[in-house]
Amino acid sequence: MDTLLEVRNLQTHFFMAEGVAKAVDSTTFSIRRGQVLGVVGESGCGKSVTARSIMRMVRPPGHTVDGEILYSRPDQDGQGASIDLLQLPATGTEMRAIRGGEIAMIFQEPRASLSPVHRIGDQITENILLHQEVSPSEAEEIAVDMLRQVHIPLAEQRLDAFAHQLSGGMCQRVMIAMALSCHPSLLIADEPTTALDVTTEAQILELMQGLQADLHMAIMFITHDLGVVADMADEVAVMYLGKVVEQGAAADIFRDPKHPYTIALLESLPRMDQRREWLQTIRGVVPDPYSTLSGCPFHPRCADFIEGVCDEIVPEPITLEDGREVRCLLYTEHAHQERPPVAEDASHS
Amino acid sequence: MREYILRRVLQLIPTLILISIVSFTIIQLPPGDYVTTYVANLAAAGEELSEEEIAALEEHYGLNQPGYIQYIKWITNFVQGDMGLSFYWDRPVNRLIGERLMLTMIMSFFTLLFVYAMAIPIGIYSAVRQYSLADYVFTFIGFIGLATPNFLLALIFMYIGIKVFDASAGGLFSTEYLDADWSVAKVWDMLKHMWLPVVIVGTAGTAGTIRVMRATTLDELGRPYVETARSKGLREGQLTMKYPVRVALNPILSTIGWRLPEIVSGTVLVALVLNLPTTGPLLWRALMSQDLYLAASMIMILSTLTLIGTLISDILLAWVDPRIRYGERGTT
Amino acid sequence: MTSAANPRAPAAHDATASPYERGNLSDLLEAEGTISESRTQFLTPRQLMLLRFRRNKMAVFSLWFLAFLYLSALFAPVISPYDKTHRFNKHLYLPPRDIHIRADDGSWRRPFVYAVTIETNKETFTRDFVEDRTQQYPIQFFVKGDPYKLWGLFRMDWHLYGVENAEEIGPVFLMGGDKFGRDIFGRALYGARISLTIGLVGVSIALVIGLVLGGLSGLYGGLVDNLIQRLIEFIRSIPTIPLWMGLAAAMPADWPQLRVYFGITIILSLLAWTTLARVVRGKFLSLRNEDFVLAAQSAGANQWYLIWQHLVPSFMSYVLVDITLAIPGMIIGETALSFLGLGLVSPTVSWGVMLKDAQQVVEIAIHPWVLWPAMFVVVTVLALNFIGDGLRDAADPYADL
Repeated sequence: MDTLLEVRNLQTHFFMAEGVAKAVDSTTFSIRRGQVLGVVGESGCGKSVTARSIMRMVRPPGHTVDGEILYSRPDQDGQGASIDLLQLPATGTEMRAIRGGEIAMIFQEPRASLSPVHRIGDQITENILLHQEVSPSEAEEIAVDMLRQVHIPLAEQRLDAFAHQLSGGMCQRVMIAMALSCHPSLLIADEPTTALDVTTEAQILELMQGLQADLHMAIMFITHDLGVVADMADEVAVMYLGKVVEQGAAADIFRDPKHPYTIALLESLPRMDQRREWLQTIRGVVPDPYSTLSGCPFHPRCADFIEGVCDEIVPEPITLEDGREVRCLLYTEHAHQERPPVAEDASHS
Repeated sequence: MREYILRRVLQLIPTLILISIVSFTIIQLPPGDYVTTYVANLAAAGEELSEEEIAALEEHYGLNQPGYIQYIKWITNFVQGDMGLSFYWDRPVNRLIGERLMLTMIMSFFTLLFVYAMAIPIGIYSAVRQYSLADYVFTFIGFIGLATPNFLLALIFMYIGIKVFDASAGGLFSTEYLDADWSVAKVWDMLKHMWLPVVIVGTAGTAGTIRVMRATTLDELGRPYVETARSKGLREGQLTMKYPVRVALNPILSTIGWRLPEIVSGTVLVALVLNLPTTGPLLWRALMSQDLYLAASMIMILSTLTLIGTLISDILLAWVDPRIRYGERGTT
Repeated sequence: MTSAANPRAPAAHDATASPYERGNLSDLLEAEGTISESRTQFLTPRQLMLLRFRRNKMAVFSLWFLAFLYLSALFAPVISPYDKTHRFNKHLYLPPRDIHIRADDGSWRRPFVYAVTIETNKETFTRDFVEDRTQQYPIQFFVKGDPYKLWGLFRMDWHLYGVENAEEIGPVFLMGGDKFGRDIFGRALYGARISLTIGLVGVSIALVIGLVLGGLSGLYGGLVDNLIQRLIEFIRSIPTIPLWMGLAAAMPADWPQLRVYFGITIILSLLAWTTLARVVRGKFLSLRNEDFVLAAQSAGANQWYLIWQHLVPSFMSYVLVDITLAIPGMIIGETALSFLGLGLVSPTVSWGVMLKDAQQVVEIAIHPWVLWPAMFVVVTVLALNFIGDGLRDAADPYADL
């Protein structure tokens, strides 16, 4: 499978009166064509900002200061020539053609994401007319077709509805229909089900899975819910404080997490196959984004913290045998110098 | 729609009755009446009136009857279009205020136009270019505009007019048109004079509306649906006008009628300073001399016109935006 | 915003020593700027509000300025060099005095004035004041002058500044004199006592009415609410100025000035309460279904306890904003009415009464300094607006710090 999008060393910082918040701080990961990448992490770890950086939609005081976002255009014949999205002007013609046309996005609050004063139909056809050379009536047909594909009953009538007349789940379906109306090769879904109730969430997830298979697009699925990721994702990237600390095949990561943060995250999850009196929590809180921690950013909360190593050396991503990337000093020679690799690690998990 | 208009018009009736009572009562409140003031003035000038003469005067003006009878007489005639007699001018009120009222209405209309024509574009610009130099300049001017009472503004403009342009800024007509009949030339002359009072009366409203427009646009600019629009690849300017501005305009336009009382007030006050031939100076003089029917009729008419203006703007908006008809109104 | 933003290095924080956790405000403000400021989750809402307000330089400056103005009004007889009724009959319409610090030979001196004499301009036939530059009269501080009784208690006769022999050489009028030869600056300070307090008194009356009626409206709803809402709509639909004018004209001319003063405050607050009542009602309605109110209710709190312990504190900050923003309207209202001769009248001194002298354009054209009281009005209203805005921003619990 070829790589659709490769993010290298992405740095998006917010320049606030209080200081510089490094929301995304040298993030590296990649998404393959037609696959689902789950991006997980606690609130404030930079998931959403990463998504907006890819869309080039970061608003001041935020700025993407460094990195590369290599995007291979799907319809380039033969050798998928890739372009660096960060080299394009954020509001220029090329970037706007990609945005909405080739990379689409859906958001956390489906109802608030639709305009309160425009009809559903207007908002969907707007997207189609922007990116496809069709007449308004053709665009309307496409819109109806898309609404049917996302299982909205009475699609024609719904074109005239306003957002406040639809339920949250319906609104998210409309958002999906709108996002997919131009057959993007990548859909960025920023916590699309967080604001929905559990049954609606299941329906939306099922819908997204079906559409993903039908349209053969890649999805970058951002969530803080590991259970959702386990259902949806082929690959998983775990983020902590603006960095991807572990990326690999979903199955591998759930079976055998390597990074102490991933381990801790998984331990905080209720499981059907194990009896536990208490769910584990991760001690401490996410430090405030203005602070600059020395060494590994996770060290103050890490269960396997090695003094003199983790708080001094900044870990670089390393590739393990099974192809996954981990940003942790436990898997480098630094850990071996001080003490044997954490054998008791297994007893933790 | 017809039902909505009917409902609103019916709602107007009790309000109007209340206003008529209030207007009449206010003028009745001070001790004494026009005759006592008149007699006192004559006495100050050294002229004494006999008891009979005073009684005859009271009879003449209908002031010897109890207040409520005076009210009922006045209001029944008022409804039929006869507003009674002005004591001071000794002329029918109708003839006194006809033209002045029209001028007041024209001035209020232009002021309303001025407020919105200035405030909306500036408000949008300030929001989109938040913290730009122009935003600071507009914000600063807005603060000054809000803080300067319009009659003071009128004084300052008149001072500038005399010092810089060596011309008196007062009045609505050039001398040659003062008593002329209405003609195209007179209307043109009036419009040339009207811009100044319109700017003066409209400044505070403009400043206020800019602030509201800026704040609501700023609010809307951060909404998720704007991000959705951006994620479609819309051009920035296009998406700003189509989405956040459109939403921000709603409450501003739907409260257009609420500006009227403020503007009519301003017109009255500024007209006094600039000595405009509108209702302001007449009302002032009527109040000062306890000219009962003239003052009450004028307060009544000004309030009624304000209410009708508000009603018309509401109906127009309900016609434009169906959601208002169902009781959803913008709030400020 | 540029990317070269402030790289203020946040110090590593020692959690135990952080003043944010102790919640002590003075420590907190002291520490502000030295410690990473994101740890505000330990502050009470009120402390947060104060912290945010203090960040707004314009609002803080305005607050100090207003405090200064109120103090000046309080000490008006001391600061003002002459009594508010003191007429310098030889110096009618004396322009603002030039205070010199350099003599004609170029040497620096302590502040002084030259004597002024009246000369008739041969061309325009106007009477102009001309400086007689032969002798310098230094400005003196803490000079004896018109006797007065400070706050009706202390018999005193010294003033902050003045010159000797003012009747002959001309009084020190910083902002010029009026048609009776009275000091406009000093009178403006005396006038501030009326103009500045009328807003406070009026707003207090409006607040009481607004709290009661707005509270009733929000608490009981139904018919009561409907009636009160109609009343508010009714009042707001009448053009203010004609109504005010009518009401003000209704006050008998022979009323003592104190009664007129209260009459005017009542007239002004008759309108202002509607805004406050709306805010209070809105807050009552929205808070009624908040979780913390429901929680208190289910914990068995009685209604009055609930209102005073939970509802009122939680909307007081919003009401404070509206109070601040209502005062300017009252100050302008009093000025307008007195300006029209419908409010306070001479010998009472208020900014509006003083501005009455500026009604004639001719007057302004020849003696523009009679507009000085307008400056006081504008600046005061401006300051109040800045403070109100600062409070509004500070009261927003969701605003970023």
